[in-house]
Amino acid sequence: MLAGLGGQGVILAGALLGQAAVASGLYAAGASSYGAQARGSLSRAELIIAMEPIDYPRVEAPDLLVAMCQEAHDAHAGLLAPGGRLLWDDGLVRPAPGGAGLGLPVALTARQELGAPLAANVLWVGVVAGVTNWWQTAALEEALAGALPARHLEVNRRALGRGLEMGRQARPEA
Amino acid sequence: MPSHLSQPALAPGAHYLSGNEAAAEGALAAGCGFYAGYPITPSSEIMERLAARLPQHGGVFLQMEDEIASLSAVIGAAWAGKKALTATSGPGLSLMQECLGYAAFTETPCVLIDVQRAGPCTGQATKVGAGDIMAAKWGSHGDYQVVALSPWSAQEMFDLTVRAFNWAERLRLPAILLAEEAVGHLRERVDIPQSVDTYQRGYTPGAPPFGHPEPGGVPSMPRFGQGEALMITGSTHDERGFRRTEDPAAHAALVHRLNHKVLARAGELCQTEGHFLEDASLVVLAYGFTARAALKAVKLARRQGVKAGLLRLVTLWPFPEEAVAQALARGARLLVPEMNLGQVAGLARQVVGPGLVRPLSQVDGRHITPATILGALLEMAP
Repeated sequence: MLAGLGGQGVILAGALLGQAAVASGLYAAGASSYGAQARGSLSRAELIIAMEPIDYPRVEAPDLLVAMCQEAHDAHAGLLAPGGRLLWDDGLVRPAPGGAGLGLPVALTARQELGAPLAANVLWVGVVAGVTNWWQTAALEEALAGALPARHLEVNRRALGRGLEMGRQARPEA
Repeated sequence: MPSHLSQPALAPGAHYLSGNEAAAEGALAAGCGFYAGYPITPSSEIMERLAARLPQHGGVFLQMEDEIASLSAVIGAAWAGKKALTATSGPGLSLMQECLGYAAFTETPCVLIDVQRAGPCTGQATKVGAGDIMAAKWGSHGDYQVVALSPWSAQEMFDLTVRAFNWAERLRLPAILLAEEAVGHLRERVDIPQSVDTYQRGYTPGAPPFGHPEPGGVPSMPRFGQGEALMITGSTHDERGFRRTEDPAAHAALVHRLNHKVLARAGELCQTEGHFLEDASLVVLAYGFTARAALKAVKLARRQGVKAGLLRLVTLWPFPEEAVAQALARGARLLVPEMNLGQVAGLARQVVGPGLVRPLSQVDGRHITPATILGALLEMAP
């Protein structure tokens, strides 16, 4: 489950992960919810990926939760499945004291390293794939190329690569 | 039967599509050549995709001024020889009722996709409901039949749209895909087949367009421009389309044939799916998205030693009475979870009697979860 604010690209990130999973031969089911305003209201993408057809396609207790902002963290952290992994944006989210999980400076990296704050969602896609090792990189790149206009592709490819790197490094801790 | 294999417009293989997108692709695969509609949440993505896709495949796309005009245009297009579609949600279905009756009475093949939201009235535009089950069948006045199918996945938004077109063309009637917001907006893997079975409208030059010697027969359907003298009226008519509004026998014969052509084929029309029914003492009767939650609930109940099963209705109209009766033949009880106040539960009661049916209604704009259904099953368990 990915959660953030409208405008952070949460829904697109979920769609990219789902698309890439299906392109790799997996089953995927995704649902999204968002408030009436396009920007600034809580937004969330659910995704289930599986080796076989999915009975019930909605996420009840996520095995992995990405909180891209404080509101999303506070609203969803309690849903996490026992043993589930929580990732948050270090800098935008202050986690509960003593709460398990890992913060990564994703928004900061997108802004400072890539010069593209709007690519933070694709960076998160990379982090999720890097941490879990459930996705094929080529399928993610293909999904990206299918979803974005050519002029935004290059920077988002770099965001995906950087995210994968951050995710793989974080794998033991997350 | 004049059916043949058609190639889908989308490349065969696995795609990640929303239910609404899959329905649009299903329409293209079925040979839909005309769409007229008025956008409404949560169905608009069907219209949006067809606005782009239909012209690419030689079809015509029209945005109309409202839903009345939309189904009117669809009926016109069907008589011009096209396979025609409109999509809407509850408020639009209400506006389309006059035309729905007109399509049924003039035996006009057409497909209507209703992506249901929480009603009545404008209700909750972005929230899910399944309150249009009765409106789909009984919304227009008089005795007529429709075919209505209930998809539970994005895959079935594709498959059942194709099937709806085939029934519409084969029986010359409005076929309705009774989808729900939760399926229309669900994004899932959809496997597009190499080919789909499609049905081409039957036409015999010179044959009467509104009469058939068999009691449940489907007449030949000419189209405008073929050179036949063609009269279409919503008034009672004879086999050539002449008005017979004073003739008791003509009216009775027409009403009986229109109903019989569907009910006589109930065995073939009524599609259901059983899960764990063999030894089930509690049977969940569900359809659409709720059946996905029910399947999970049934599996969870079995882990707790409750002999639960699922009877999923794929066809809602005509109502699959036989399958419901059979599921209860061994003395089981029925739990009917639905996102309305018991519309299908009421039908089930008519089939099996009131004592054996427990409705589980939820009308708060949210879908019914497996936990809710499991809770009811555990309460009912002996």
